[in-house]
Amino acid sequence: MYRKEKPLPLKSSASSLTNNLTVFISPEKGSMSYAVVHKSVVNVISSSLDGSTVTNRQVVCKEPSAVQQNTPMVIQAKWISLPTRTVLVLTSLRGIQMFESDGSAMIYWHALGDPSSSDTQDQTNYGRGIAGVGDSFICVGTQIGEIHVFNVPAKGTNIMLKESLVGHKHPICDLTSGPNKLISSDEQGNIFIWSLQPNGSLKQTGSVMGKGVPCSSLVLWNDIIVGGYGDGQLRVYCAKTAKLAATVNAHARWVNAIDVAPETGRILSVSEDTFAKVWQLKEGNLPEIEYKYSESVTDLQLVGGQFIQKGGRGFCVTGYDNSDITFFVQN
Amino acid sequence: MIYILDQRLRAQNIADEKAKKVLHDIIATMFHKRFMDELFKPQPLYSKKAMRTVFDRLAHASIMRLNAASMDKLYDLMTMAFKYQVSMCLKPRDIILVTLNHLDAMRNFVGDAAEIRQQLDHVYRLLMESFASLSMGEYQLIRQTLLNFFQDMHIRVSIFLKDKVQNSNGRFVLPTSGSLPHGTETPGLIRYYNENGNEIKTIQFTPGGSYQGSQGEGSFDMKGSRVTKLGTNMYSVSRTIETTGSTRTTTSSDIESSTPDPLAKAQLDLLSQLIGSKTASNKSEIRLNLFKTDKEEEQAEAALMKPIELAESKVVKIDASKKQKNDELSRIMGELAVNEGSSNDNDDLLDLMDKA
Repeated sequence: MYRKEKPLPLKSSASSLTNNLTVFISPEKGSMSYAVVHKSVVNVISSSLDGSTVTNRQVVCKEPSAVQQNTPMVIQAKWISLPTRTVLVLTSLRGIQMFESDGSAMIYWHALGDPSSSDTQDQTNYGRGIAGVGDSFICVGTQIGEIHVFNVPAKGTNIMLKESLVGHKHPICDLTSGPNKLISSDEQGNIFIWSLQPNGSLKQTGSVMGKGVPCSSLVLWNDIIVGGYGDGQLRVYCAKTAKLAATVNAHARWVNAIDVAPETGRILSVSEDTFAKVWQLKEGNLPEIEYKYSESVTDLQLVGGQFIQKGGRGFCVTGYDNSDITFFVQN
Repeated sequence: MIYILDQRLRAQNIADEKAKKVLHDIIATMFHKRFMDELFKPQPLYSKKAMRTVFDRLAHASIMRLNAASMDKLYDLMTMAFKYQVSMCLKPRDIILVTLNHLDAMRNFVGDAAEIRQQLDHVYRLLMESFASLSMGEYQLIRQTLLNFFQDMHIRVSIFLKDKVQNSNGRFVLPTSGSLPHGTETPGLIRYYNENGNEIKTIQFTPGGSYQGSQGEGSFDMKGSRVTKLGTNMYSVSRTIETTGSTRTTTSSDIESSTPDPLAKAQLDLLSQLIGSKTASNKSEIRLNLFKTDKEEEQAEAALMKPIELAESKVVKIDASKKQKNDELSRIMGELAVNEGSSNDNDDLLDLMDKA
């Protein structure tokens, strides 16, 4: 169904993290950009749509007023496209950073944890899980289970922390969103559904109890939630009722990332077991999922996977310790 | 490290009593109570340089001496072996089982030496207190941090190449068969549920790969079955030790390694004190060679000097920037300085780190 295409080489290798690949398609600029975390830097690579020109950039995660010299390990990087603006959001062991979409300028820094605290437990509080909601909100999950909601203006650096959503008792793994909805998952496998209220606040309107296995990656498509789990399963839930619709014994190891093609409801899942697998969602009273395609990328523990086209006719993956973005295109 | 030293001591026909003394001294220093108590305090990850310095010191905690080439080789072998163990864990919790396999083996090495056994029991208790009851997500974050520490190290190890678990490019072979992690169901089945949560149908598919069920959950008990073989002694059958074509690649992006953190320094200081008191009187040193023959070791030692020229010409070709060239030079000089210094017992460990 898919064939392997020429890889795109990064400046340095991908770290072992979940969701370690983000893609930004910019039709007006005529370019595709990819970002992959390598330790404390983010490799950003942009290519024109015909592939003729390729540019590289490394975004370094540095604290603006760094007392300590060493740079913290980056946990996640993700482009968030709001209706008026696209920003590159980074989370690390120390805080949350936002950059202009090309990674050129830092526009916001939010420290997490308190390095001066005497209790080592309070010293770090990493961020993980990034999603955009509504017209101007960017949500970021944290280790202590809070979800910070930032108000991002159409221009400039006047970004404000609007509220912090409390509910999760465990570290957040991933966030995803749909129209006026935010979905969050944590290390116990709990999933919370939050709805955007007319007054602009987010309210929890549903939840799924986990069974102790982290839900590392989440997608939402037409009110169907799909989660990728540490035990190799995918689980499909109805977002309206929070009821389980299907479980898939999908992978032999940890599922590190999943993605959805918005036009067709195709799902991509990648795992440490070297496999990238493609699935098809079906809407209905009881949502369904079907197996479509499977490909092993030899000797690579896959850490990131994204569709590169809205219909799911192509996708790319990254693997731990490897500096290629590997592409697959539909025949 | 202990597995490798044990194999080399036997291969070099060192008298049993002497070999035993060497291993006991190193294990006793490695697991010294004060050092372990410090090590188990929550702290940021060591820089690569600090880590190497710790093991340089530990390797010289007995009457045994290693020259720079042999020390390099020892460190390459042990780091690649540990990277392999962490990489191949079926699930993140297995990293604790790997460590328990190490501890079990140490217990066998020390036999009835009561004092060292007590130290090992203390480490076991610390390990259980700190790590026995973590969640799956916490184990995963630790494993990811370890994997990122070993990222971009691709040294080829002959025993791995022979066993076909490593490719000639230094990457580990990841099988798409074998045992599943405990708690993971065999890929290939979809279950559908209705609104009441009842299973209404199942569909099978051919997922690629062919796996067998789990071998069970490894035990954290003092004397339990660990299930996993990762972390056990690969060299128990007399097998030779080699890094072939030892391509030592250092990455340019390691910003972290430039500044050793104060905590690591404090612990090195402590370790230095502990060792200092032990190695005051060295009369009959053993020189251990990690290579097959002395000649090979000499060649490797000579080759250690060569990369300076090689690296220089290479850097000029790729990038004419002077700064990089100097960095590369001072890096190599720095490495040599560490090795030179570590054979001198009076050297202060912190001095070594500054030189490096």
